[in-house]
Amino acid sequence: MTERSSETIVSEVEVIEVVPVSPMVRVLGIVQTLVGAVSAGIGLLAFLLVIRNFILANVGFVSIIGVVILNVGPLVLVGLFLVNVGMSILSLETSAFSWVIYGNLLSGALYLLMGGLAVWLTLGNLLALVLLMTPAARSYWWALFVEDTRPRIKEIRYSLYLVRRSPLVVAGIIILIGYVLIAIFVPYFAPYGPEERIWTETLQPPGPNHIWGTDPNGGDVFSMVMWATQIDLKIAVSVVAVALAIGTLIGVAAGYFGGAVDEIVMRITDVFFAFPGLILAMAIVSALGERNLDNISVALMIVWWPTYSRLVRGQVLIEREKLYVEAARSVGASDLRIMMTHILPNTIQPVIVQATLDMGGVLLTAAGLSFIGYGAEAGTAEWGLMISTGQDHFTLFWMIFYPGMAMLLCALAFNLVGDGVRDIMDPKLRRR
Amino acid sequence: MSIPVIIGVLAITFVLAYVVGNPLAIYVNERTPPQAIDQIIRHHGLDQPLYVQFFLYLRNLVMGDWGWSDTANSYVVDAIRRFFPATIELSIVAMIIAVLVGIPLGIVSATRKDQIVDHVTRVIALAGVSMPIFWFALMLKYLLYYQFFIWGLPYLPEGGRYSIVTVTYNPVTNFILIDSLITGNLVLFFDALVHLVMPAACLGYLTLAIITRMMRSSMLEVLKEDYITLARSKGLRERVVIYRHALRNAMIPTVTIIGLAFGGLITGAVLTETIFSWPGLGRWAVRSILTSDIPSINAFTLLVAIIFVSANLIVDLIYGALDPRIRYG
Repeated sequence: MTERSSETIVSEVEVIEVVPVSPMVRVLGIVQTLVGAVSAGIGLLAFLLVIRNFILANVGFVSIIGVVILNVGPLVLVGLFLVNVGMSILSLETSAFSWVIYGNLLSGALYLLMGGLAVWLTLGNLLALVLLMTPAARSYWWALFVEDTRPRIKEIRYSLYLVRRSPLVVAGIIILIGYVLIAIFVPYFAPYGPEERIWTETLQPPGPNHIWGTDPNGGDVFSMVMWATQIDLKIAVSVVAVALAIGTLIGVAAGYFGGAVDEIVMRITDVFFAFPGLILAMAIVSALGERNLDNISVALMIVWWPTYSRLVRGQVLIEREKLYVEAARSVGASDLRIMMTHILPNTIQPVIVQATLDMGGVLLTAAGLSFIGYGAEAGTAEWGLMISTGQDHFTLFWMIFYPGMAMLLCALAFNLVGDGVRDIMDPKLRRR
Repeated sequence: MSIPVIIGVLAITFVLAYVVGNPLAIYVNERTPPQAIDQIIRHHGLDQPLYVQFFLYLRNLVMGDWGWSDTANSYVVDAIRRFFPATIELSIVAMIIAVLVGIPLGIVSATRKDQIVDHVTRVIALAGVSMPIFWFALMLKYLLYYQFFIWGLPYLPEGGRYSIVTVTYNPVTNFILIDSLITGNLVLFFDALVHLVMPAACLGYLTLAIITRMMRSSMLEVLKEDYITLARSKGLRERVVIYRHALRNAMIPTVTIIGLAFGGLITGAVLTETIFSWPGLGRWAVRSILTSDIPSINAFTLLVAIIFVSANLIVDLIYGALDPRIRYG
């Protein structure tokens, strides 16, 4: 990484002297900056809305904190990244071109997840990608990209080979894919709806009508476990994604600026680490007032961000001393750009591993909160809540056993994949 | 190091209790006459600026006035005095189980890497990390209480700290195991022990998993060091190499994890105590959550944070004992 970036700087200087700026590239840079600004704007707006609602709620105007940030939170990070990529392109920093691909794919995916009108915003991402592929723009980065992609592909091939060799990781991946498929296709195969109750068939043991039995309200356990996949996966992924985005932003800033900022941020994370996750989440939910899934998610995000801040900060402290950062600074790159386009991509790898591992933890904590009555509203198909409903009848094992197994398998899969990926990424364990 | 953290913790509990949500709700219920509200506000200093309220809050904490707990139907301080020993007893027994089983498991797993023992241990540990503890508790209860009862086997009690109906217990310190030994009441002692088995095993399993994983990886790391190779090439027996040379160095990261896992234990206690109707802090917290008993929730949060911070402080001190290089002045 280090060598590549410093080379880039050198070639950048040559490029500026030899090739005149093509208008296409300028358009690409502007488009990219705009797309990034819009993304970051939407993300920030969502956060501001939450803060505004939070204040209003406490002044006594509104009682509910409207949570629109669940998928929008990460947009702040991706958006800032894209803005800086766009600006780098305008100044013809060739390394920025290939980041266009990843950044736009990521923000496009986030827009698609948000749904609604946001889907149209993917057009901006598409436009940027198309412009990137035009011959005029290509001449700036394609050769370089191919040149440094080749060893990278080799690296990925080797990683995949290592993955294939460890059966546990493969098993974890297969289980996770299974869960995602269930979450997508559950409307087509579940015999009953998520909140459908058959009042005449309560507490039925597993049998032909209800293969996993029914609960005290006549809900079909099999269908509910399947439907719950949607809710629980959504909580796990969105909590980790938002916590990661917030934590990374704060951690990068703390590590990069050092000094007082760093000190304050680290002391704050210390305080957060002084609470066990579930208990702080409990206190936050009780302070928020309403008991529902959105509030659980917010509470868990507040609980989880310090992990990533710590991790990223440590990583940044190592990276910022490296030569490529100094090179970028010496050609006049701004702090924000150095953080976003130079340091951030190099620190993200351990964060991803940690995020995978945390998904299992978040899943279990959220279910635990639901279990003690702090989570989903009664009647929602959610694993923790189902077990909570079943505990009064714990002698009828099916109400507890199946949701628990679903949870266990899901958390296990996340842990397997996370563990495996960590071992594979670990340079100390990696042999060539 | 830990004093700023405690101040931060206090600030957070203060914010959660008094800034978010309406602090008046703690003192007022539907039977409060409306004309009394002004007086209540003045009496509790709710008309003061926030920083003054924070100092009032601190003063009340120090003076031992933690508020009134509706759930426990007593003052919060008294409730803590009643519930705290139960939770600590449970956590310590669970921790003992976890350490006594987890560390040997980790050592065995590391020294027999990639053999069948290792694979089994790793699966046990991984399952422990990914298992929802409340589910595990219910399943244990289903098997060891209900099914054993049906099969006519000696079954474990369903819940509680001792058999209230058949055994009498006069609390002294509220730690049943200690009290029964002091008074020489062996029946009570064994009764309490039997009642402890299921909750402690359940609670200990997660910690056991964490300790085993950490022990295994740190042991593997240490076994690669040069001084181990040297010890082996000197011709020392493998047992001496592992227990005298490797273990002590491998213990350092494990001890850190044990300190951190103590927080996990308290978290787990919240969930296990509800299931085994264990009259401890966790069950109290859950019941106060369901009745929105804010002083209790706050006291619990604060207490847990203090326990957690002091556990980490103790770990720091143990470091010094383990590794003379980092002994504190």
